[in-house]
Amino acid sequence: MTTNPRTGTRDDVTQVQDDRADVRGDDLLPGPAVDARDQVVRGRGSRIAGVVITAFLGLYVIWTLVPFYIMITSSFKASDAAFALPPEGDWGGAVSQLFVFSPTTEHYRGLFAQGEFERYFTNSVVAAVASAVISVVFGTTAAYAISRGRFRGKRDLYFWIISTRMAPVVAVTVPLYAIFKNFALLNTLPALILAYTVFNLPFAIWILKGFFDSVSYEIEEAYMVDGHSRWQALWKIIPLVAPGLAAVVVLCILLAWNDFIFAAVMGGEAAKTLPVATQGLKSASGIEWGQIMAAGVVTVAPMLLLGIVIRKYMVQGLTMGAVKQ
Amino acid sequence: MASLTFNGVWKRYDQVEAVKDLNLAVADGEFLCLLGPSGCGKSSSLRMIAGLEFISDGDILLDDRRINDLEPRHRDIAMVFESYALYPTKTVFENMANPLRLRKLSKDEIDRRVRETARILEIERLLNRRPSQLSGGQKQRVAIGRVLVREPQAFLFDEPIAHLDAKLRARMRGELKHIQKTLGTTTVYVTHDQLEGMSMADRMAIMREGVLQQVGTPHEVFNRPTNVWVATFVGDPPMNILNAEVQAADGGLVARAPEYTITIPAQQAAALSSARLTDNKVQIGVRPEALTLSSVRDPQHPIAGRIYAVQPLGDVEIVDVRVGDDRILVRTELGTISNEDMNAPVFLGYKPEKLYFFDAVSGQAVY
Repeated sequence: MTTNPRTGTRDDVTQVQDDRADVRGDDLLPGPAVDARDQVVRGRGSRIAGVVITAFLGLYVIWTLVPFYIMITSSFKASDAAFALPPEGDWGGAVSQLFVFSPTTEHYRGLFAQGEFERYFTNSVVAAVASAVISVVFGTTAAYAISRGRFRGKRDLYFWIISTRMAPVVAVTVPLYAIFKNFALLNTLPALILAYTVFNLPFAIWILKGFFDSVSYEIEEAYMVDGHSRWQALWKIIPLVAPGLAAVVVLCILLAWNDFIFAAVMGGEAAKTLPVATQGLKSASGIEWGQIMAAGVVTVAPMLLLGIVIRKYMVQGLTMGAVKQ
Repeated sequence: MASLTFNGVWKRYDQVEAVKDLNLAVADGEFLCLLGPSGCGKSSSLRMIAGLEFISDGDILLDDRRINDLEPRHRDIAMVFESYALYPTKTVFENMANPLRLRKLSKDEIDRRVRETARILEIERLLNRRPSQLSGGQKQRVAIGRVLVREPQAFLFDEPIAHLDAKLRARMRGELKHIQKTLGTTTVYVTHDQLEGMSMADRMAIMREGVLQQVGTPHEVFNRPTNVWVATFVGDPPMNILNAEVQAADGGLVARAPEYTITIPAQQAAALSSARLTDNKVQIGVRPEALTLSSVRDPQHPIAGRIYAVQPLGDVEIVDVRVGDDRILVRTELGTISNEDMNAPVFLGYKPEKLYFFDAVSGQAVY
């Protein structure tokens, strides 16, 4: 029987029989992995449906992957091999040409031999990452303000921000061109970064607001009462919106990475990005299909990697923010 | 620890006035319960103390320091939230240690305080769990633990046990009261449940639609409510209210309704005659436990009624009696009436000294 020095209570005074405080161990262990779907007895009808669905998905996978396959193999084929036609009626030869060839890296070497392609790649990375970072930083703070703040015209402001996304890209290209021209930003990377941010920021605000809405305000209030400033409280709840941030980062990078029109109109030579550079391989002297395929591979690969790395958060991010638990 | 003072505090949200001219003093070490139905302004008042809402007008003082413009973190006030608001990514230990880490306490001191508080709350075994692995009662204890470790100027509770089941609530009332009395920390406790206020508070402050109705000890509020609304809000089952008209008779006053005539005790008759009643209309309040029942009419049971329903509660039962168009609840010993059929005739008796009289128009009590 000890006496609590701070409260002066004896331990045994507050010892009360409490069945609820003792969560039995088995309450906390994860149960056997039973999926409700496993227990559904499947009838004949659903088996046929299963075959149909599998067949459809199989076709869909082929449909999706074949272009990639052709792009990748063509990038490693010598130019004559890529366009070689099998004799008429020789189906075996046609199929073997899809799979059997002697790989060469000549197109990749040719691509980078110009000495400029690395720069285009860097431009793409800088434009995409910078615009994504700006969008995430300002998107987070703006979304937080819209989610938490109480001010007049909040709904209108929110709608206005989303509505800026409704205009098609071409509609803002010309005005932006004029603006950038006045600010002497044409043919610079900042122009591209700004242009991408124009489109990414509303999107980031929109997604992140949903995430902040799903985080209980009382958690931040608890942080503030505990002794944190509002900024610190916001920083503390960032892990709770991390899936949203991941989704925003990826989608912002994708938009910038895949953009052609802004880069073509405003980028010029100084801020040429991969899509524009690839298009440039189609010149009056001929179309460098091998190099175009190699450029395609170089363009697609980083995004594939990014998608794989961040895929878990993205799926969560795209569903969780919208659906209120 | 400190005293808390509201000086003419207002809270306005756009068009809505949530708190209207609140003047209230909470003494050092006092357990004050802010009581009222939802939307009465009690939570807004609490959140203004914490600094989570701006104060539209007036001042809030902590001791003699005006804290209106102080950020929440500089007020040194701890708060338990209705939703518990535990930090989902942190363990129970880290949840409780968080406020201490900010105060730059040594690691050993943090460890000691958290474990000690955990022992008081019997959550030692949960220290490594995360909030998602806790039951409602456990989360609530952790939330309380997070404020207890701090030794702040004041505790604020915002309906902390509203979401627990009835049994656990009853136990937590006792525990919270015990903890508050042992620590002696000034506490403001917000609830809509009059039972929590009655059972725990040193004083209750009852609010309605942003206006403070009455402040007093539970005993005062229960026995001397200032108006009909407070009278019917405090107590369970609630006080019965009957409409009647005051008339002069036999040198005294009587309250007359079609079904009954009640002789008004001399002291209250004097108060009533000096009160300026509109059209002599009065509301008579009588608590269910101040009424008696009989199956036969006798001088002690003059009011005739019919049984509407009977709710047995173990040793007592609540009998719902219809008198004219009114319904009256009577709390009585089990077995007082033999015939519990619907519409069976019963007769009500009352203790004249237990009657309350209210101005039927203003609702103010007349003592």
